[in-house]
Amino acid sequence: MKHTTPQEDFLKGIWRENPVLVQLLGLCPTLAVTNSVANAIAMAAATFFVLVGSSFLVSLLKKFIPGEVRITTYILIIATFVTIVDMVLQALFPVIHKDLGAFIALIVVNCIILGRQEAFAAKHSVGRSVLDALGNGIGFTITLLLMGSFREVLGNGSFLGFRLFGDSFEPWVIMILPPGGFFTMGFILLGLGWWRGRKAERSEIRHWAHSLRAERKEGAA
Amino acid sequence: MGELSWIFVSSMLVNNFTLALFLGLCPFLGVSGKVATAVRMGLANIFVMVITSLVASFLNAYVLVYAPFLRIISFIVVIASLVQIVEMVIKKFSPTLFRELGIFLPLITTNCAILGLAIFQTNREYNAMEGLIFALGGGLGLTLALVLMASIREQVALSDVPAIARNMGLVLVLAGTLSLAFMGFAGLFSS
Amino acid sequence: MNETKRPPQDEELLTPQGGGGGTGSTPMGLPPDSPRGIALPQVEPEGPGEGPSAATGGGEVGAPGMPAKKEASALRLLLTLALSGALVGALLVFVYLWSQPLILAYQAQVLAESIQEVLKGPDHYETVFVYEEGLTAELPPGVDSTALDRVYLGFDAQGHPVGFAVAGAEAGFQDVIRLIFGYDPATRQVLGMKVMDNKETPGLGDKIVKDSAFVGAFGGVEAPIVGVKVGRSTGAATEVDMITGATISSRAVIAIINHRIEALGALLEAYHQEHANGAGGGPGVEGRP
Repeated sequence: MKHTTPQEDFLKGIWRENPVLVQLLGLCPTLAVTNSVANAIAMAAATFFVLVGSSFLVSLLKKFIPGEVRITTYILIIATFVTIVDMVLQALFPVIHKDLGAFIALIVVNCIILGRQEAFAAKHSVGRSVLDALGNGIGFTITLLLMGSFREVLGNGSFLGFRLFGDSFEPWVIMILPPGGFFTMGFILLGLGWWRGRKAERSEIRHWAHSLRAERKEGAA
Repeated sequence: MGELSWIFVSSMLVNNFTLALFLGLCPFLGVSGKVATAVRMGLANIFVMVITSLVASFLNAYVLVYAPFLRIISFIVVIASLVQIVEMVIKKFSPTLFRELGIFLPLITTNCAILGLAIFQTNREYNAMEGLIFALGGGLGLTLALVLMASIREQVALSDVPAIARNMGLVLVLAGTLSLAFMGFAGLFSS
Repeated sequence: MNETKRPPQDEELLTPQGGGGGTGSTPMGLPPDSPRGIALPQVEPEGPGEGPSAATGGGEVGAPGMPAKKEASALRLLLTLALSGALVGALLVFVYLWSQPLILAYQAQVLAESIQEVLKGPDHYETVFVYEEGLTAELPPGVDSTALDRVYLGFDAQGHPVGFAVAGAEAGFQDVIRLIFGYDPATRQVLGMKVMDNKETPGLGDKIVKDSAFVGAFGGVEAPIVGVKVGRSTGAATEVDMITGATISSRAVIAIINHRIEALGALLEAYHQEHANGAGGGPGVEGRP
């Protein structure tokens, strides 16, 4: 097993192993509720709570859960947290609850959460698991915010409901409609692919120059 | 237009599960490489969705009236268990069918389209019949989207695609285009 | 929870994140085509009875499995599930009992505000139930009111009825549209309309809430309402201009109102005439500011 430091546990989920952008998990909520920044924030917060709560509980109880029923138990734990979030949101923030609608309940099947339980919380200490969940939660939040701002600014000409442009701006309504979600995510991934390709190319050149120098040194000796 | 046919066409085309509601994206991106696989995945999906719809109607009518707070939990646990039982039955009595559909069933059970179906059906207060039509329409729509995507990707696999686009980004942009096309079905009902 | 009875080999078919993990397991690349290939990263068959070796797309590949319990007994599995189920149930009941009053209070508040809006600020209103083919403000004792259809009758300061607030819901373009409207049976006029819940397409269909010209058009229109496209209006008192680009949603709103008036119109008229002489303000009064 690869040994990791607590910092790595926390940081890897934010960028290097970002659950959405790199692992392509949890795409449903990422595309479905990011037609405004406010919805994106609410969804991210709800998922964050469920993720951290489940990771904490699963790592705490891992010794008592027999392997054969672990998935069922994880789902039970996750579904409980989701139900709690659902009821609390409905009681305290009914307007947000109405906007997100069925997608709150669908947090249960967000692959990120079950994935973290199975891949990390089930075999690490409570502290590490919570760090891991925090990192992944932040990574998920960043992606949702990115999508939400992009789509709301272009599709509605506003950010968090504040008008950004004058009346002459004609909003690209398509961006807040379903196709806009696919396009935004698609172009973000294409951009990432381009960025990765360039990075790989550069490191290859650097590597090549290095080996060339080493060869020359050898020749001189 | 009758209520039932509206539900059917709406869930299949106008509000396609995958392309308009973003439900079931995981199989849509993961199993859309080949048309043959996509068709089987779609059929397995229709099957699970019909079961889900029946179970959800039953739970809503007889159990959840007394304990609404157990809705999410009971949907996911009961549906997952039931599909597993069905899967074992198929495995025992029809190995051929199991080879065709079986391996997909567990993959489908917990994808968002299934839970989404149960929850939308509940929110819209569909009765058992409407729910069944909703599930059939939704499943067919999902299959349609899967097969369309797979056909496109079979072509893409043979084409000279720029290096940066050889990842999911391209598939998502394609999906966006499909989704755009499906929005046109709204026109069916505007005249 | 049939897992308890299954042999552990079947575990491979259970991993629910399989559907999702499929894409995650092969990050940035097109996943392999065969279903086997996709499922593989999660669906590693386990040796019977061994602790599961979990290898999801998270990067912790090859880590030692769960607590290495050998073949936990069926009883223990059942107990674990039953215990966790009971704990979870208890927790949820607790949260439910706390949140339910808040949720109901909010819904009641929204309803009261909406009634004020669509009846143009009545002095007070009373709830009237549809019971056995008639309207009544006072149900016979022992009748459960929760499942009954109801309307709300508003009165002015002198106790004269000003109109009914009627709620209705039907499928719109995307999902159910719920709305409430004010209706005066004496003049057969709709007094006002407010959409309470909708999931219509943002930017298009949701104009049924945001387009003030459309919403305003329902103040004073005569039932049954006819929706007309912009520019085709003949000036009749029953016409409402539909929103360009949101014809389906507009038509749904009009249909909800027409259907409700069709179903309840006669009852409302009869009840209204009964109480038109200022006899309102009886025992069922509520919502007085």
